[in-house]
Amino acid sequence: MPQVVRHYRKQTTKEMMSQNHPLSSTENTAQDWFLRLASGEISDADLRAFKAWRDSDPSHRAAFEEIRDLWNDLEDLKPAFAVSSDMESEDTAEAAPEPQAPSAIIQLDHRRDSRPGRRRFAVGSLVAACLLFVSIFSWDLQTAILADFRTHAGEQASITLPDGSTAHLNTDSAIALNFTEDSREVALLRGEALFEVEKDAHRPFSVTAVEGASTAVGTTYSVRDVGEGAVVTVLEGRVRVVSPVGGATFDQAKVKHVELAANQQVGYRRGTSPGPISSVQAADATAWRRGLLLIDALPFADAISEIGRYHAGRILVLADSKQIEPVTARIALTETDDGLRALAALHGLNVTQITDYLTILH
Amino acid sequence: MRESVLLEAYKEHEWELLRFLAKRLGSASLAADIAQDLYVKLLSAQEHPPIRERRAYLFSMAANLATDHLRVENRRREILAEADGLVWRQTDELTPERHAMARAEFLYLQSEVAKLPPRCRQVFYLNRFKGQTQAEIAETLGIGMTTVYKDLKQAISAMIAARRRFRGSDAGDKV
Repeated sequence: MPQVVRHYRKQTTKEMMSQNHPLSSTENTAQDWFLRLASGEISDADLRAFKAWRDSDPSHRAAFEEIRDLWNDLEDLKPAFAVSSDMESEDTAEAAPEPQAPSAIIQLDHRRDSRPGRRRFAVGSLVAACLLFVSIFSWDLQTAILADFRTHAGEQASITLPDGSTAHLNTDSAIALNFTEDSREVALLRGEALFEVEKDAHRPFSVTAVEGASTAVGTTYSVRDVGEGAVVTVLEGRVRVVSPVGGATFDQAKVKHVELAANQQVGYRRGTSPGPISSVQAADATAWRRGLLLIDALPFADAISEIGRYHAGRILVLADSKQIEPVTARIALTETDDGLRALAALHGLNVTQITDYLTILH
Repeated sequence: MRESVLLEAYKEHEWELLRFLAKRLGSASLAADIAQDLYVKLLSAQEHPPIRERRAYLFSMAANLATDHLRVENRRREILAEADGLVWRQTDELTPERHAMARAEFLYLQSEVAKLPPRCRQVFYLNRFKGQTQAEIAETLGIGMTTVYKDLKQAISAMIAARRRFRGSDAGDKV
């Protein structure tokens, strides 16, 4: 019996394939109706005629619904359609892929607001992603022992996790996994990672960083940890952030959770509950996946330490960096040395490389 | 001549009429349109019933036109809303199937889109993603309405076919 069923199914597939060209008359009519309904210029009589046609045969309804589903699902293909030489400039820019390694290594970008809105992260992916950034400044023994995966300064790596999710590690990062029958936990020991999470309603995916946890409810989000705390940024859907969840200074009274929606961000400090929610451009937080370092109005010293994360040695600033106005820049991650030099030159500083492990700005 | 009597009344009370219509329709420009309709109607009317009170008659004509307009407009909005509901999916729930398929299918469809002729892609882009009507696209690109229509159908057919190929190719293994 199963064989019969299988055989039947194969025939159906073949039938469907052969139907592709030319269109059957039902398909043709369904398309005509669809385009008319979508045109916004339709009369009462048209609408009645459409419904009569649709309801007169199940195949009519099916053909119409196939088109409707396709039409709705095409949202993420917008850039693919937009690629055209004579398209409006706004759209061309939007469709143009982020330059992977621009020849102009650093473009000071004071017109940040004029930049076209970015596409949602991970076009077409209906997965949850989570980005974490922890700044712990030296590899300690514990991190080295606990880490299941790690990268060195200047490296990035993509790792397939046991559940099929993917972890993208940014420079100088480490994660440890704890996957069980009913939970998927990742500890970000250091650095920054983007997680593309396979949806599994029965096994929540959560990432802990600096005594806080961020749990995907089936969405796209990022967590960024700065110094003594973390910042969680949601790219799509919703994320629940809880802090604190443990640690030496654990205080039950401080435990709180917030739920974030797309393009929202929240921060927490070690041992405290999450702070106020703010609005952000979440796609910028994942620029490193596109080989870019975006510096957005950061104090000079912070900008240098951002670059420093991708740099094997230490960078020392021997100048009064507080006198320097905030820095906004785009730097290709393959060219951080040149980016550093250009940034220094712009502010009248020299770069002296003492050894591979020490660079001085003065 | 009765129509000239009414036209006279119209000219005499035009500002009042406009204010009256604007209040009723909630829009000064719409009021001007309806007043224009009224004027044309008065011009072309051959006969009128005996009129005692020219002003009252004029205003009731204006009021009827305004009411008709609102009724048509409301119905048009209802139709548009209904058509919109038929075209766009109301909720965007991710079934597990869609979820698992999404990425690979997206990449495949992307490659198929690239095979479409540039103008066809552009026409579809303007319609689907920019919300331009077929007439607007024809105007924008300086091409005929028939061409726009054919391009739209070509794009939809290609995507439908590509999706069936993609889904068909592993339907044999699944379910």
